[in-house]
Amino acid sequence: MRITPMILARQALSFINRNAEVINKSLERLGTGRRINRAYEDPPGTVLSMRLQSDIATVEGDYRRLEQALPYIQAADTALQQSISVLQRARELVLQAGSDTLTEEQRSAIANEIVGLRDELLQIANSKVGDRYLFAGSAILTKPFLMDDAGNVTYYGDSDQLSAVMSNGERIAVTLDGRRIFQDVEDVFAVLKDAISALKNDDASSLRNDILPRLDNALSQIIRMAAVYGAQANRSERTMDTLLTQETSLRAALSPVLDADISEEVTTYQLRQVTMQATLFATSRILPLSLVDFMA
Amino acid sequence: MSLSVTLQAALQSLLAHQTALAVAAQNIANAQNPDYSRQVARLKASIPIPDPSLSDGVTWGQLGTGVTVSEISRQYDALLLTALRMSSSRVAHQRTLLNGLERLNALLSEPSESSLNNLLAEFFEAWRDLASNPENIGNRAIVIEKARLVLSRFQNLRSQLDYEKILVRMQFETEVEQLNGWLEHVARLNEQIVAAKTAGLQPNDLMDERDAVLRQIAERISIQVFEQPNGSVTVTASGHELISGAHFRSIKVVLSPEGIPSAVFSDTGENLPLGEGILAALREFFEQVLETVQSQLKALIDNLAQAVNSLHQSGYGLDGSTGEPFFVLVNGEWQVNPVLIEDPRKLAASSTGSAGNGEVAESIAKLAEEPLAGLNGQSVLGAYRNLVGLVAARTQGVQNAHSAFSEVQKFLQNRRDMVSGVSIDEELVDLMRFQQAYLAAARVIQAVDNLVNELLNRL
Repeated sequence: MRITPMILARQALSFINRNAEVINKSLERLGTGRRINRAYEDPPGTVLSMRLQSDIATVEGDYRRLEQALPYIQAADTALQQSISVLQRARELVLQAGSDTLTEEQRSAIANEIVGLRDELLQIANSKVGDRYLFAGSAILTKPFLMDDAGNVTYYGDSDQLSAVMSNGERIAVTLDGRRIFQDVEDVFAVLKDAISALKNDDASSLRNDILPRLDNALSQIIRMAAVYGAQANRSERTMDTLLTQETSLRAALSPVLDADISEEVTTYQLRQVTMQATLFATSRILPLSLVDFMA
Repeated sequence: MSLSVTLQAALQSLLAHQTALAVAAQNIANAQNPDYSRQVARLKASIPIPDPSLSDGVTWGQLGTGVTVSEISRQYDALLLTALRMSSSRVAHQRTLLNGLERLNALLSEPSESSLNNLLAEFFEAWRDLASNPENIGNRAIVIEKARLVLSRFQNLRSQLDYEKILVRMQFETEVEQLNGWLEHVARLNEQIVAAKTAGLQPNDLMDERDAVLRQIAERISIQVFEQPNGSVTVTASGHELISGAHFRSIKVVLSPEGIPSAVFSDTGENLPLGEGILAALREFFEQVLETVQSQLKALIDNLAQAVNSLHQSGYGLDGSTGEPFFVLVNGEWQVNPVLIEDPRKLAASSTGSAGNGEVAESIAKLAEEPLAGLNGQSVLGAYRNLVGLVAARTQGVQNAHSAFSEVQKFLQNRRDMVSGVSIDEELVDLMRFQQAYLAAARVIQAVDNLVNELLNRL
């Protein structure tokens, strides 16, 4: 083989270039902290990282939406608990008033108290957080329960609900259909209205035989709804924990795809530097060799 | 025999080695010229003369008369040059493709925080946020803002791809212009080489130059080169004659209605088969990469806009308005409906008209990963990921091909240099050999001179 200086120079240059390329890539990865700086360095990794990044955005979105929904859910839960205690108080009073020993005067005092309880319940049914009525279904900007002069309460909301929407299609109810709570099988307001008129009419037997069972029905209706809603509030908090875990694991999956392995890059960098030095050393020793130097 | 014959032989030796030294000097001078082929002075004994003093009684013997340089030969391997030309076409092809694809990857800028992938994901998340807070004006404004970001990114990409097409077309035109220059150059060299050969000269350096120019041509298109007995070369591209003797056919650029450039012969208008090389690569990049990416991006945004619109038009705004599209086409560009920007309450998130209903917004959010018929059953995000993946995979493939072909090219160049390259050490050794031979010939002349002197002085 005839080896000419051009061949030597070309070889030396290509070795130096190859080393420089690897060093440059390591340096870039160390500088940016990223393993993939251009899509073509790892096409499947790029596609995977794009997928993971949009998944992370979705999980973060789910968490954000739950976090925003939580105050409403908690407020509605509290409102339901309050309405239960209001009704329980009303039941105690009706039970008391059903006794034949009470005077008409006493019954009328109880009637006044129940009027107060009914007003309180109406206020609870019209609970509002920010601009939203909690028990108007999806008609969240409409005051759901209005009482006319005769004391009849009408529902102006709808049977839909506002939900926090999760990416998996799950819906967490933020507002509720108020009718299902207050005017479903038993119209709570009507029961209280009838109780008030029975008290005013001094009708103890009707209080005992008609109003009391209806109050029990109303109470169990609200308790049932409160249980469903409370369970959902609990679940929301657990879901938030799950989402946090999910996000962590997604980020953990993304990291080895996208992030540079610093220790590996540093090692590569140092190894290549040694190779580069050796190449440069050999090149500087071999290239200048010529017969010219040895001729007199 | 006579002393004059000896003197003549010594003189020839002086002259022959002087020439050999000159050739070595030329070689050394061109040691770093990559296109130069090493030249060798071929020494040959000159024609002997019959000499009566060497007679065996029947015939006269023969006496040598010295040495001549029979030719100055050019060291080259025609097969290697052909292989080198083919490999030049191939390397130039991949290099051109790689340059374009690298720019395209930079345009798409995936993966990065500000990439279209993330903008699209944020757009769909904004809809899902709106679905959960449909009465909120702030969420409505965010949806509109994210939509505008997505659109402006798409438009930006489209105009950058348009610009890229212009650049590719311009480069194609410049390369064809250069190609014409090189073709003409080879035709001129053919002429000069034939003239020199006819005059009995050895146009070695012209032939080196012609080989170098042929390689420039080969970088642009695939060519076949046939050497003719008179020293000229005939060059063809897939059977179409480009150069024959002193004649060459010039090439011009024509554009298809879509703006795709191709090269045709100026005289007949026939298509020039490009084979491999810069021209073929530019065309391939234009037609198969830029056009495809652009049309897929267009399909993506069109399908997204239409799908969002048909859902949006079925829904109701906070003010009860309905049937309003979310995106509208203005001069062929998708824009967010100005009516919605004016009054975000008209944004239709609700499927019932009730303020707390976000079902339409939810359906739009679901479009992110929902298969669309217009995208061949891919979702919007999926189709975009695929597009980026394809471009990246193509680039990686070209990058691998380029480095493989470059290795072959380097190997072939080294093989060529083993045959044609100049080794300075070798030339120095030759220099010493010729110098010694020259000194020896001079010594012969001195000896003859001494003999003649001696003779004359004795008389």
